[in-house]
Amino acid sequence: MQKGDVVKKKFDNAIACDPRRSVIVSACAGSGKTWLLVARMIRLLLDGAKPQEILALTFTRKAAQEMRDRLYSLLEQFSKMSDTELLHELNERGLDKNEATASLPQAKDLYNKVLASPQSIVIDTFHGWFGRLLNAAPISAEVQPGFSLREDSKRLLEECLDNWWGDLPADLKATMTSC
Amino acid sequence: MIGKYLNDYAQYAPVVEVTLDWQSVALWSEALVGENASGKIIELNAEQAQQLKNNIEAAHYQGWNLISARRFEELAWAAAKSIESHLIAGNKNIALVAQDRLAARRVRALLARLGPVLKIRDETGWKLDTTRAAAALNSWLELIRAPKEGPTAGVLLEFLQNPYLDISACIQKTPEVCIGLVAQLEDILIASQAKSGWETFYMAIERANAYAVNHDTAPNQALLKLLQFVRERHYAWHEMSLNCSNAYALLQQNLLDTGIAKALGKDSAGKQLLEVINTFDLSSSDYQRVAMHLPEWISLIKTVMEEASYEEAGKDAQATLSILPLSSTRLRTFDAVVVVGCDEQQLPAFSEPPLFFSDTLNRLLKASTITAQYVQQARDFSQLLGSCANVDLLWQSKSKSGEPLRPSAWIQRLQTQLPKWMAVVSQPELHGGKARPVERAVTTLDPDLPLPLSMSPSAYKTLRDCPYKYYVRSLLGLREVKEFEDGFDASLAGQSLHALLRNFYQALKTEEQKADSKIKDNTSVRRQWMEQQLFVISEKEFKRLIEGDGRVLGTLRDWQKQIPSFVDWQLQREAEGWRYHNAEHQVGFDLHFADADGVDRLMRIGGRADRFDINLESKQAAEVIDYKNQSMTKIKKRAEHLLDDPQLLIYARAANEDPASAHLQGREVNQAQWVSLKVDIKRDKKLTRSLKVEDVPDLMPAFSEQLIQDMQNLWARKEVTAFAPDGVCKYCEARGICRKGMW
Repeated sequence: MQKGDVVKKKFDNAIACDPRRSVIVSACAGSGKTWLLVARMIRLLLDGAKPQEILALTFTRKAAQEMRDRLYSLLEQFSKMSDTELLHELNERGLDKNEATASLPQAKDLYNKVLASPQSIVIDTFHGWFGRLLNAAPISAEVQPGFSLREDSKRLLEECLDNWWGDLPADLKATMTSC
Repeated sequence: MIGKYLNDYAQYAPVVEVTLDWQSVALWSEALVGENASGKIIELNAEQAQQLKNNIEAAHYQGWNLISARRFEELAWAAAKSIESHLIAGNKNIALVAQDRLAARRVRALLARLGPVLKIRDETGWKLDTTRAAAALNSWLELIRAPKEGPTAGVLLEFLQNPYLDISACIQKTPEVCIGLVAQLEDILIASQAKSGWETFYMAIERANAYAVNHDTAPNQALLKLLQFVRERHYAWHEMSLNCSNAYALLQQNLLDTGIAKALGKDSAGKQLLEVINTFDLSSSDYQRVAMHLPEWISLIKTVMEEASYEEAGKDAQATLSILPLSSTRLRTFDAVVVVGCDEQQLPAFSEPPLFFSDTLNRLLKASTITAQYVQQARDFSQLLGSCANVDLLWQSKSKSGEPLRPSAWIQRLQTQLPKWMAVVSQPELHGGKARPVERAVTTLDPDLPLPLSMSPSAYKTLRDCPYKYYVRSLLGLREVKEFEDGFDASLAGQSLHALLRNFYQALKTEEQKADSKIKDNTSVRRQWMEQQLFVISEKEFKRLIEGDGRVLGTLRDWQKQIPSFVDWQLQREAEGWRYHNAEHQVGFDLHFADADGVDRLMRIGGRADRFDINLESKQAAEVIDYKNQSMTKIKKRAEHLLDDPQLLIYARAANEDPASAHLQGREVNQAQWVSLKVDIKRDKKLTRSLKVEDVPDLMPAFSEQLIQDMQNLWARKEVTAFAPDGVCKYCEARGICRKGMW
C-alpha cells in the first residue's frame, strides 16, 4: 500500500485498525464508522498509548458521548469475557491469532487501566476541544479566561452594532453626519 | 516548605507530625500510594496490591447503595427519598455531599417541605452576598456610586423598593403617607421616561405635581422630600475626600438615617452583614487614613461581601442535614451519607485552573495539580465509604442533552471486583389519574360591556387576528404595564419615518410652486434635489431621538441608505403620471348593520391614511399608499391575507364615499399599494419597493360583506374565529391570560 491509495476491494479491517497507519475512511451512514473508530482506539491502547494521549473528535456532542459510552462498555465486556470470545473480538479488530493471544492479558486489563487514569481519553466535539485549548492558554490566545461559546451569532451581531452606534465618539458622529 | 519549617522549629520544641493514613481504607491504588515527586501515580508493589485487595474484600459494600436516575428531577427526588428513609430509620446526623451542586440545591428545596424538624446546614458556600440583606446594602452602594448628576431611575427605584428601607423615618411623615409612594414615583418617572439624573427626576415630579394642581388633585410633596433626602446623602459621598475612616462613618450614618441598620438587626442575614460592615472600622489601625476613590472603596466592600459566607441561624431540630463538598467530609462522622452526582463527569471534579496556570505550571509551582486533586478525592471518597455505614451514591444516567452518562470510574472499578455490587435504577413514584383537558375557553361578554361604535384599521386587524386580543385591548382597554425601554422603541423609528416623508413631500410641493424652480424640467436636477432634501430632513427629524439614545443613529443610517432607491421609485411613479397629493388625512366611513335584535346600528370605520397620490394623465385616478417599515418579504406575506388586514381597502372605501375628506373631489381611489421603507439593498438587485393590491374595486364587495358579518357577530356577542397564524401570539400583550395552550 502506498500513501494515498484508495482501497477499492473488500474492506480490510486489519489495515483500517492498524495503529501504526493513518487512515481516512469514508463510508455511508450505518456502515460502522464509529465501530471502526472505537476499534482503533482499542488498538492504540493495546499498543501502549496512554488514555490521555488519545484525542477523538466528532461533530456533535451526542456522537462524542455515544462513542465514549461504546468504548467503555466494550472494554468492560473485554474484562469479563472468556479467552475464546476475547480472541475472536481482537481478531475482528485486525489482530492475527498470535498477536491476539499475546495481548490477551493486556486486553483484559484495559478497562481498569483506562478507568484508573486521572485524565481520561478525550472524546469531544470540534468546538468543544478548541474551546478547551483556548481556555488553557487564554492570555496568548487573547481570550477572556473562562469564556463560553455563544452560538446565537445573529443576536450578538445586533447587540454589537447597537453599542457601536451608541458609543461613537462625538467628533466621529459629526463627521458621519456631514458625509 | 512546611517540612523545612517544621525541621527548623524542632530546634525549639519537640515536633510531632500527625497526618492521615489511608492504608486500611484505600479502595483504589491512587488512594493507597498517591503520587511521586514527578507527579505520576505510583505503581503498587506486591504487598500494597495485597493490602488493596484486602481492603476491598473487607468492604461492607452492602451498606453502599448505587442509585441511578434518568432525569435531573428524578435524581433530586431519589436523593430526597434516600434522606427521608434515613430520617425514618432514626438517623440524626446526615450528610448530603453536593458533587452535583444543582441537584443538591433541588434536593434542599424538596426537603424544605419537611419543615423545621430537619435542620439544614449548607456548607457548600452560601455567600452572604446572595442574601436579601446584602441586596439592600448593594442597592445603596450602587446609588452612591452613581455620578454626581444622579443615578439612573432603575438604581434609584431599586434602592427605594428595598424592604429594609424605612421611608416614613426618612421623610418624617406618618407611615400612611408613605403607602404607594414609591409606586407613584415609578409611574411618574416612567410616564415621562425620566431615565437618569436628579434634575430630570425633579422636573418629572414637578410636572406631575403641576398637572395634579390643574386637575384638582393633590400634588405630592412627600415625593420631593423623599428625593431630597436621598439626594443629600448621595451628594455627601461626592463632596468628601474619602479615606477608609470617614467613608466607614458615613456609611454607618446612612444606614442609621435610612432605618436600614435597625431593620438589618432584626434579620439573621442582616446581623451577619452588619458584623461584616463593622470590620471596616479597621480598629483604629493605620489603614484608616488610607485615601481611596469611591469606586475603589465600594468594590472593596463588595469583594469582602462576596467572600463572606452566610451561616443559617441554628434552630432546635430533631435531625440535621449538612450539605457539603466531598472534601468537608474529612475526619467527620455521619450516621448516613447521600452523595449526588457520582457520574463520570462530576466525580472526580477538578477545579478550573485560574488564568494561565496550566497543569504543568502548577506542578512547577508545587500548586494543586490534577493528579494531586485526583489522589486527594480518591482518598476522601475511600475514607467516606470506609467510615460510614450507610452511603447512598446517586447519579444521573442520562446527561442534560440525553446522552448516556456512566457512573464514576471509581465506582466502575470497584464493581469489577465486587460483581454483586449493582446499581438500582430509581423508579419515580407515579401517580395515576385521568387527564381532563380544558375545553376551549369562550369569553362570555358582560351584558353591560359597551360594544364599540368605531373601529380603526388596526383594531379591525386585531379582531380578525385574534378576537380575544381585541377583547382585551379594545373592549376591556387593558394595557401592559410600561417599563423603562431597554432598547430603542422601534415604533418611534416608524413614526419618525412617516413624519419626515410628509415633510419632504410638502417641501417638494412648495419647491414646485416656485416659478423659477429648476427641478420641474430637469430630471437629474430633480433627483439631486430630492436626495439632498430627504437626507437633510431625515437628519433633522432624527436629531432629538439620537440625542436621547445614540443607538438610534444606526436606524437613521440604515434609512439614509434607502434614499437613492426611494427617490428612483418616486421618479418612476412621476414618469407614469402619479403625483403626491397629501398625507396623513383622517378618513372614514359609516358602516350600517343590524344587531342581534334587528336594530339598525352604525359603526364608524376609519383612520389616518399615510398618503394619497393622484394621476395627472387622468381626471379620475387616485391611489392610496401605506408606508411599511418592513421588508418586502413581510409585505408580501401581508398581501396574502389582504382581507384579514384590509387597511388599504378601508382607506379606499372611505375616500370614495367621502372624497372631500381626502381632498379628492372628482377622483376615485381604485388603486392601492404598500411601500417598503426597508428594502434589502444588498440582496434585492431590482430594489423593488412597492406591492400593488390587484383589483381594488373587485375586492370591495367581498370586503364589505365580511366587515358587516364581523360587526354583526361582534354585536351579537357571538363566538368569533381567530385567523392569524401562531406567530401573532409572540408579542401579544394578552399572552398568558388567554390561556392558549390549555385548550
